[in-house]
Amino acid sequence: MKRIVLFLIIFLPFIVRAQDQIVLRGELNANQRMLLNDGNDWAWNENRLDLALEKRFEKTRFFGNLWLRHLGAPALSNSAGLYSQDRINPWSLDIREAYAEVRGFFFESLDLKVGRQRIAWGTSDMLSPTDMLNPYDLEDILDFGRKNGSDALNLTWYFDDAWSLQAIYMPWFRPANLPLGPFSNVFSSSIELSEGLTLNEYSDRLRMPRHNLKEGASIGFRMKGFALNTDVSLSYIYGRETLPLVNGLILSPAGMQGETNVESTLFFPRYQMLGADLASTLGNVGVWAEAAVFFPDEEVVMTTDISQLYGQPQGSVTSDSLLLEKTPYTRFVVGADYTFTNGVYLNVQFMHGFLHERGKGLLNDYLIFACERGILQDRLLLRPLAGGVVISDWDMPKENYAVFYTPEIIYKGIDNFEISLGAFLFEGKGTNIFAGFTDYNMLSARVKYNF
Amino acid sequence: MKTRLLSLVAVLLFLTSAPAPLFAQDVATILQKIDQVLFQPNDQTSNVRMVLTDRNGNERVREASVWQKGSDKRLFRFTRPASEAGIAFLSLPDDLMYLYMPAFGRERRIASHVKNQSFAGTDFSYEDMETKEYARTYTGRILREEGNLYVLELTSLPNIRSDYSKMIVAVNKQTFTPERSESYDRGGNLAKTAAYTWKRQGNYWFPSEIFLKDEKKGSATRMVMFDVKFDTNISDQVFTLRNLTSF
Repeated sequence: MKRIVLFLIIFLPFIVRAQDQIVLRGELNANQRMLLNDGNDWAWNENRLDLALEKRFEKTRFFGNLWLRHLGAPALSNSAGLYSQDRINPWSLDIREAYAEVRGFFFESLDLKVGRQRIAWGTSDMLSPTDMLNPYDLEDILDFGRKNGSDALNLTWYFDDAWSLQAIYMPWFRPANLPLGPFSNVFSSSIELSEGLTLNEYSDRLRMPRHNLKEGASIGFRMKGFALNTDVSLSYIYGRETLPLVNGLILSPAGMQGETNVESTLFFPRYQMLGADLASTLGNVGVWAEAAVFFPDEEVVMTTDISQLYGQPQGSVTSDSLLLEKTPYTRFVVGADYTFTNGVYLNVQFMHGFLHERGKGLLNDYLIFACERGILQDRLLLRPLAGGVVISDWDMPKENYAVFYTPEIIYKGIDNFEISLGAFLFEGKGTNIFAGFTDYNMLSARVKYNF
Repeated sequence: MKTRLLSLVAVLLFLTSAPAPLFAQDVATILQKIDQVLFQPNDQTSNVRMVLTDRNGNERVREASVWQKGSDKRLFRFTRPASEAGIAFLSLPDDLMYLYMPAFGRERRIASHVKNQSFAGTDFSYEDMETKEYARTYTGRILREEGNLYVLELTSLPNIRSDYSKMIVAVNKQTFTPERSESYDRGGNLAKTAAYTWKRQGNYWFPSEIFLKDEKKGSATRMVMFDVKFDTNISDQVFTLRNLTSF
């Protein structure tokens, strides 16, 4: 099957040429990262062909976006793998978007977009708290804010040139995909066993919602407009967390020396979200703000069952711990950008609550910044100051912080060709996510070619 | 109100002494006549090719489709090179500007701090690319007359934000089309020079070519307009976020 798809993609340009007015664009992207540890292990190896296909008629439009990729390194543990081209040369195909769009659907003021699509809400840069309809694409955790497309019905009614109401219906639940490479465990909680017990084996069971209207569907509404020199919107989502939470642990004996197997149960809790965002200017400065209040549908209690350790029937010895209160909590971002007369561009955002953080009182504070300047008619883009600061406990900031620094230099001297060199450097302490990255400082190199 | 893709003439005033009333009135009249020429059509569509040349003579090309209506609405959508294709810039009245980048799937509001910045890597700044009426933007005086040209020294009116301290504009006495201009930065130094080539199509004049040189960097951009169409009754819907982000 894969070979048929590959064949089709190779001959896509010829098929496209045979069709009048079909636009085919693409991007070749080679992305390599190397750890700054003793062995200088490779942290990332991605070679991606990104194809976008578009066909427009007067009032309709079709758009598709495919990724054909070689990602990772040969994963072989025995000689059988040497017979598998897919394991030696891992590659994949991903339909990022594929939708049809109709302008003036039955009514002149109504637009319809149906199919797999990206629904980008909010005004913040990359990490919008109200941008919750599409699941996170965390495969490359350092590509902040990347999202997968969702299968959706998207209707927008335009009251006038400024105000519109958007309604989204997503029949299928699609979870986030987790990071690959050295960061594959960043969203996993560590398991602390009682004294005398050692972890022998860990396994989990994922409880997916049923694919029906009640469990699998999500809906969203967004009223968007312009008033007092400000772009504003209000949004609502009835959806499901795309990163799972643990609500059950079963411990069982695996040996005579305290070896223990742990099996967890994961699920995707329901929530409702009320959001608001704005973008405006203060003098010459661009400003934006965005907030999302999350209303969990239920408390999430993790039940730990240790009955089997005591040789008793399952379920009789348990303990509960509260993971997520039903109390609403708010993630928000405020930001500003400015270009100085010498051409230096500065972008600063303060964010309360990272994408995986949930629950009142459990959200960390992040200050994210980027400072860049293009020179030589923008042939060279210098980003010497980029990164952020995290404080996860303001009472003891020296023990609960992280700093990340992501400088980059990008050469764009030849049309459609771009090459960049950069670094991801981390320092920190405590339990915040970036403090866990300190062993993964790395250099990166990326080449991009558009056609 | 009518429009025209020119506006490199982001001219500004620099009156060190009060102009003689007669001259002031003359300048105002000239500026109004320039506007009558520039903004005579109700609307305009065109394709634009911008050839960027650096100080070493290396060239790069940008192409875009442009829709314009009145003196203050413009949509600029890049078609070439592939790395820029689909990027669009919407300029609306009252300094309202939006940028659309297909990779992000949504528009982004742009504040006026970008005005002095390069537009898509060209030597034109966002301010240069603005459409604005001369008479409502500038005041000034007649410096001299050179044959068939009025040479004006212009500065922005107090309510107009600009990164130029003044402009020297040479205007054709017969057609009232700007033939060349010099822009000066806030320090009074020559920043950019421009030369215009005008064509007549039906009843309308339009700048078929603008050659802009950045006098500080030594780079230059040649902007050529082609496939120009006037008065095609462009809908106001073209200049909306709805259109910017989808069609």
